[in-house]
Amino acid sequence: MSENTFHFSLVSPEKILLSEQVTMVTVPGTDGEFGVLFNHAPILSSLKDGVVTIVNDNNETKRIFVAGGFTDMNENTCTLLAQDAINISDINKVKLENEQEIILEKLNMIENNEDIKQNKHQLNRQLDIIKQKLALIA
Amino acid sequence: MANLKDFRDRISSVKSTRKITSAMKMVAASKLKRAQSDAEASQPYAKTMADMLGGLISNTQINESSPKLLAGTGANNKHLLIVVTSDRGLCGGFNGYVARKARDKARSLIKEGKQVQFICVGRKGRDVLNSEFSKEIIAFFEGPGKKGLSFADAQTISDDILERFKKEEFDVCHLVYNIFQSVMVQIPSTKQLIPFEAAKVADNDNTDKISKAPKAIYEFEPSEDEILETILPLNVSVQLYSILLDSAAGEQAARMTAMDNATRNSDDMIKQLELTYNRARQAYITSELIEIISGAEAL
Repeated sequence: MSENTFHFSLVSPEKILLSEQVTMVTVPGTDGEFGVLFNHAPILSSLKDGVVTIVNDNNETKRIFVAGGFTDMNENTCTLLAQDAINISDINKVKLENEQEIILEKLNMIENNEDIKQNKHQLNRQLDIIKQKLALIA
Repeated sequence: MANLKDFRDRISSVKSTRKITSAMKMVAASKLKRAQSDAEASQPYAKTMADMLGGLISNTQINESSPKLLAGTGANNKHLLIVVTSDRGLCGGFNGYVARKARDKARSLIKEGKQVQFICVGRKGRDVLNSEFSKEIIAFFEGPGKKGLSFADAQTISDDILERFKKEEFDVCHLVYNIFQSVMVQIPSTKQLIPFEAAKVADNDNTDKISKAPKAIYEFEPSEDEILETILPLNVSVQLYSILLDSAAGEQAARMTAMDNATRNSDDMIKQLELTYNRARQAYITSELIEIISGAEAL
């Protein structure tokens, strides 16, 4: 057990995914990946899609894929807001491939039918996220 | 006697109504549990986001170059009201209050010479407003109903709102919705969504947050402005999302209360009807007896 731990929480719009004492977190900032240790200066950074690495006080490492968001470190509390997040070990290839197919189908439908006013860029974004997830376990 | 049969029919029809209402009450109660936990689960994200934004804005000067979502368009003529109701009825005054609130707000804005437009989320609100403002309703989305509401659903709505804001279709945007106070109480209220109101954040936060915010000298990555550019539209989705969830929980709570009342009312009604029925039945028997006796006496 190290003394120099700080509190880290990973929050998605739907729920709190993680909330624990950690010794180090590495996050994919928009301007490049950076690590956060105990007593890090207050920082607010936007994130790009990528992998967050979390080392907790038992020296266990977790790797979580996050899709966009923000991280806020202040007074040894680090909060990461992610729009989508999944533990890399939980990524399910079959399920994702199914989802991918559904989205591709929807996109196809939009291409062929101008009447359907569905959000194309949102679907494209979802597709992009799925591809990134798949690439991680490939 | 036809009279007695009428009573029996009435009683059985009230009984079946009671069956329906009590079933609906139980369904609403179980849905409420789910909706409530969903709404609670979304709180940390919305709260952290509000804190971040609050901190960010307290460090920023609002001027003409600030993002429009924060500073506004500079005008105050075109208003957009987003009315959040449910898709289904039978939930007491839940939808009526919100629709009335929206209507009152719209009327007073129109009186001030402002233009008003509506976006309806939820069928019931649209149905009510359609009679007076059918031309002003510019978009409609299905309410947070049967299937669980995902963040992507909220994003679809907020993307539409932001798109309209970009095209300068409106200057100020308010939400009209029910706050889920408790199972018994849902408060219809309004909230300004665009431009973002920093004052509200300070209000909601406790004193510790206020003392904390100015102390922190933040590093920003990339720049403060760029973060604001991305965080503000996201904040719109997040706020909308938590309000939709709140409203969904409120709908189930309102339905549960309404159906509970209805069940109790039908209980009373059945009691009353059975009493009258028995009286009528006894009167019928008595009169039949009298007929027989007086018939026998006449012999």
